Amino acid sequence: MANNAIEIKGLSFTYKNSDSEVLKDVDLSIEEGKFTVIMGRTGAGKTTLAMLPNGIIPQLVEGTVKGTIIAAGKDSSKYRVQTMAREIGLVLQDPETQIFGRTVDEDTAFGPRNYLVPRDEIKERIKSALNKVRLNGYEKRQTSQLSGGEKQRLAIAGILAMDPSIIILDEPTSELDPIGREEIYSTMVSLQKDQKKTVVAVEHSSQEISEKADNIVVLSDAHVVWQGCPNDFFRELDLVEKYGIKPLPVSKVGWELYKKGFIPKEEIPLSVDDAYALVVRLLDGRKLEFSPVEAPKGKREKLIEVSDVHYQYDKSKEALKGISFDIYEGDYVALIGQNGAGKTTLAKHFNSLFKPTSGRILVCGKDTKNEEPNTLAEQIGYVFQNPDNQIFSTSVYKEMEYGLKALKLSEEEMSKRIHEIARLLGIEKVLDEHPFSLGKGERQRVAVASILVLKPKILVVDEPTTGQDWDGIQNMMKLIDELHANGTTIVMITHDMDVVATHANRVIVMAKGSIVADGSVRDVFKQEKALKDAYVARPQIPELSERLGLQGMALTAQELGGALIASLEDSREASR
Amino acid sequence: MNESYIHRLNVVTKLFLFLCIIVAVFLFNHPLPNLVLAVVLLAFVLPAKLNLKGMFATLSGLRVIIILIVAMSMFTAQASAFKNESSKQVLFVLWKWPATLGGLYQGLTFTLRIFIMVLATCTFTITTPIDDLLSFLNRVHAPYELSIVVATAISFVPTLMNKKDMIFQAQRARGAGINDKGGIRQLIAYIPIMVPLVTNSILMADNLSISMTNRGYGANKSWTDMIDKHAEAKDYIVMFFGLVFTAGLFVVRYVFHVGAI
Repeated sequence: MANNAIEIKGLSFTYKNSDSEVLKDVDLSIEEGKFTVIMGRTGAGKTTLAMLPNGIIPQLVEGTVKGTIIAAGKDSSKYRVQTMAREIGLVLQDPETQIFGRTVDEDTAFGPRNYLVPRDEIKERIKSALNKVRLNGYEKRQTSQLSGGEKQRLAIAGILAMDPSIIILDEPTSELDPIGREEIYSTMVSLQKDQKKTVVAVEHSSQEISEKADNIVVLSDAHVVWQGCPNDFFRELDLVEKYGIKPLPVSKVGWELYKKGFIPKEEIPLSVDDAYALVVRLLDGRKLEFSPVEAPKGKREKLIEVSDVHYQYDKSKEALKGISFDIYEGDYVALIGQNGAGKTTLAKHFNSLFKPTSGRILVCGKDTKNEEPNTLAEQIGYVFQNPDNQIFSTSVYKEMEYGLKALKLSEEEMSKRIHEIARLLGIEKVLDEHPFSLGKGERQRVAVASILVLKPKILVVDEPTTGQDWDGIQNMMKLIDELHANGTTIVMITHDMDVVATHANRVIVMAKGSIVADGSVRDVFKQEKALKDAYVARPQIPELSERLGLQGMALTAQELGGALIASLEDSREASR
Repeated sequence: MNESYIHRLNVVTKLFLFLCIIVAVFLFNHPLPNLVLAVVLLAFVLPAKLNLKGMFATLSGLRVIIILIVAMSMFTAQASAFKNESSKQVLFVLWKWPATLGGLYQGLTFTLRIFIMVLATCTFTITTPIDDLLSFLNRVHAPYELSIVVATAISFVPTLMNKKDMIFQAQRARGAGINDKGGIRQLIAYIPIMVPLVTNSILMADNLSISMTNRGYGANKSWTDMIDKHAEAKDYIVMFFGLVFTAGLFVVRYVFHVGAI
């Protein structure tokens, strides 16, 4: 029998001042030297589980523990966090509060210094830790100047320098762009494969996990509900949906085929390669037809006109380099590109938070040079990325009222609008609550609601799905789709290409301060070079559709699955 | 990277100079010597090309309060406490309240003291890595809880400033015209921000102490010193001049009786 790095028996946990158990009767063994991923809805108990083995819970975050946890051979209830932490490294969720050093090497040294590791050895460890996360050469950089992905990797390096045998990472990629995610994943894999560490990660995104993890543990309502090989789990689509985890797009096509009896369950593809091989085999030389119906555009009003906009933060750094495009009424724009490409900088120009260094932006005919965000608030609403940075009132009602007050509406009209929008977003019941007492998903809704009461013609949303679980993503996108259907023009900044493929009707790709592609979703996903320049990976379904050489590109699993099943049923009919 | 000569001074030297400045600032009640002090301090700090933009912005935001301080002390200062006859001179009378020259001096002195202290503190925090400070506290055997408090407080400042900017942007995006309000109204605009700022800082303080312990802070009573930051010759020279300068100020104040109101 393989050795277990972490052995949990009969574990239940209740936070102080709470009466519901966050974890209930959990029995769990994590094998040594393996890459294990913990998945589940927000609030399922994942973070709690991650904080238990080295004793942060219950030593620093109080509560009642029942059961035992043996990690790295030590009973975690018998040792201080500082003792456990030497063997069990935990990378916490927010890199911002985990970085203490002024420079990268100072920060990396923090851990080993506390254990009185000799100076020369610490220097060695800094070098090797930074190497492992590919931050070598960054030693003397200021930590405050690092990008989000670099900060995340530095947080990992800080733990690696302590040389633990087990590394636990709590949502290490939730705030990153696809490139940043890929970097973190390859780091985790090399730690496990080359350094023989036990790696445990809490994660939301399914695609990388199905390819890279050895084991997955699924939590739901405080219980461990599934444990085993990720591929087996991702083929059980009914379970995947039930436990609130994002299914792989190609597996949805496979699931349809399985339900119609074309393939056995084990053949449900999880990667584009497998899906391609499967579809080619099933088609048996026949050609798959798919011709999408593009909605007619007609003549539409121009809402935003951007002409030759340049923007400089300071003399050395040009963030936008001559941007020109128009946004029309009814557009559902996805603004994509890697971190630092200039997406948020551009979007903040639309409501005049930033003014162009040169060039011109007209919003509903008004030059933003002469406008301020408050004078544009009725034309354009801006939902920022982190809801907590835009909520500042003592109740949800007051939060929503804030923007309305500036419009000088009557008390009656304000109340009418607030209730109307609250009903639309399903937050009517919490109008009197303090926004910070709500869950993250609800807080995000409050943030959107406080913009929507102003009834803007154009809504700009910055990464609406970042850090949310699958339920949260679906709810948020359903809401944005509804707003769009009701006539609001949408500009959405996002890293989630599956969201782009299934929701937007236009894509603008940015790279290094310029626009490298702009067009309908299908047009843009066909432009391989532009996507590569912007480091954007085509999502599974469009990728599969291109490899199959379909005439029109399929964007969703429904489209591709539908076409495939129709074709297969035809041939089944014919062969009878 | 962009290290100024102030960065390169030992933390002990900087703390010593800081102490000298505190003493000097409270030595004189008259604004003139304090103005000289401020100019001298600026003459040393400005060539280091530190990023003090934020500091000046904060100070200019406080101008209403500063004016209030000056006005208040002008009318409320006890004329009998003034050593010089000229200070008792009444500048003008507002309703029944006389404004004294000494009071005006006192107000200006308060203002200059605020300025000097803010400048000295900013310079110290900008040029001193938290690690240096922690290692100093370590060397003088201060309890490590104190170090946590210091580290937390210092690393908070830029994060909170960032947070404040984001909340301001969010308010402007929802129609708040903060730009065109001046003085008191600008201060009032800060009030709603305090709610998320305080909530956030409590949460962050918690997270910060968790993540420090998570990386072994407090595993031992001391930690590995990474650099031998012992005071060098230049530190002793600087400290010596600091001492001489402060001693000189004492002479000016108590031997030549300069600087009283």
